[in-house]
Amino acid sequence: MEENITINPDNSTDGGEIQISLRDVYFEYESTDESPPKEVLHGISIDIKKGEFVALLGHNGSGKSTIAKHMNAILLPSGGKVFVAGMDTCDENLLTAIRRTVGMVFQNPDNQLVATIVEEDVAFGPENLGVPSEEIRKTVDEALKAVGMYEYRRHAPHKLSGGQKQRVAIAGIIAMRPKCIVFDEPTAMLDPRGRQEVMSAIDSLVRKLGITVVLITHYMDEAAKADRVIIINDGKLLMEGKPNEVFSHIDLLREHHLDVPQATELAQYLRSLGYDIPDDILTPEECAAAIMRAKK
Amino acid sequence: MISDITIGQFMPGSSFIHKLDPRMKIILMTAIIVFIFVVKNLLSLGLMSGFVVLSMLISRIPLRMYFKGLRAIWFLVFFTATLNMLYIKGEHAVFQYRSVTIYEEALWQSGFIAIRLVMIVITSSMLTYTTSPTDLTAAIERLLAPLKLFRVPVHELAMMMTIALRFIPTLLEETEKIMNAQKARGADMESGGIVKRAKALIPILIPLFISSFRRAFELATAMDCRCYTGGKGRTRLNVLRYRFRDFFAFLLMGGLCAGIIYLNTLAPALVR
Repeated sequence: MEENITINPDNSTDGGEIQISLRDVYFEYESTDESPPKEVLHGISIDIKKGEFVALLGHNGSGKSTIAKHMNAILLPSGGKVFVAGMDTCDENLLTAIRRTVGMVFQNPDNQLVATIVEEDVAFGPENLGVPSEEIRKTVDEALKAVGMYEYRRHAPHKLSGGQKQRVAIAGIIAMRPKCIVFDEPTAMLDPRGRQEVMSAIDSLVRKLGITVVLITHYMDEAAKADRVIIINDGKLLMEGKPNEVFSHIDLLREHHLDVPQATELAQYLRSLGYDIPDDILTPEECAAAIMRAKK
Repeated sequence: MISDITIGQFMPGSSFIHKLDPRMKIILMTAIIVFIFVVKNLLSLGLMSGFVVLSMLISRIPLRMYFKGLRAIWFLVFFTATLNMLYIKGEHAVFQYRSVTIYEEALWQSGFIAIRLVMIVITSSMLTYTTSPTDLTAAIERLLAPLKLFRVPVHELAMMMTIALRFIPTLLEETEKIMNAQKARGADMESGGIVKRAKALIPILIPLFISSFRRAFELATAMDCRCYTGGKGRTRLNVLRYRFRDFFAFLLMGGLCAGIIYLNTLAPALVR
């Protein structure tokens, strides 16, 4: 399975610098006494460009979290190569450099906060990198302001709501000034309000700070906000494209037990009844506008 | 109910004691505890208790907080004082009933023990009430730094302490959740003898352990992602720095210690 691809991905771009590049990645969990080795990824190739907002979708067990963990060398591919800003993730000497470039936010906010005070936690990353104290202070304040948690800097994390904790976790990653942040189902454990808070924080990362974002989710509404949607099924790439292109394939998605955003579903249904509604509807607002137009 | 536990509770404030460097606070507290045992007669005891009461007032922590801290050890104080009273032999009997004789020396001894215990608890709660857990662990890390020469993993110990402090409330919350879940399934935790109650804890402890391991694993991955590679080359957001007030407090403490030693020589010792 080993295909020796040694091209430096930075030189092989076609429009836009490539930040993360998975080249024909295979991955299997090591065998234990009870179970044989289980192959989770079967030859996945993905390129993520600088400043892009990519959503990775797939049902449970499709391998999407495994892909995420390849993006900052938490897992190393069993076959194929992963490059982060041109650095091979298999090279142990580059580990810190890679993790500085690609930060990661996980599902459970409780299990990623280290310190007993919000600002101390945000400072954890820069402290590890050996940034001088005065600079840490500045970075921490900026990071907390970027997620709207500056007023809570002296609070204890366990007294915050889920959405607030998750925003602190995001600030902790921003403080390391990464070029890219991978979110592994960041809203799965939050209530609707927390989801909203976290999604708007992610949105401002992409739009204001120009950070590349890879969002792994199973909420279609969240994926609809991305520039590009990648659908993973059984460790393989199923579909890839702009959200409206991808979600217009309702039947194919259904076949693989995936939903489409509710607005898209409604628009599609109305179309099938013969109404004049475009097939690339994503948000409730677009849908409402299209229905108004169709009525006239 | 579980969250009533207040060990190491920090009460933010801006008193002189709050503002002292946490390292200095640890040093001073240790000195006070040592000198509580140097105290031998009423004069030096008076000076020491005066000092402790004064610091309690300066700390501007509500006095009831100190009494709350003492509640847990009343029994211990009472128990040791009584034992001392009954078992220490002396020359002047003050009270006799059948085979029980209480001597004057024993009364002094048990009184001193009780006051010493109370003062120790008050000083150590003062430390935790006026110092944030992060400051405390940072101070411990710095004070123990010389032990690194003997290959004691000082940074790792401090990190473990920080994480433990961080997860105490999280795990307490989780314990309550599991308890409620088990109660909802008909578990009975409030009745029966000690053995039955201990057995009822098993269905709470097992899920708690499993989830703690899962948490630990996830936390380790998250720490890896944030480039944690141990204490080497780490910097800190808040750097500890001794200020004028720390030297002032240190001198004051020196004066107190000298005063106690001097007063000890003025009057005969009441305790051994």
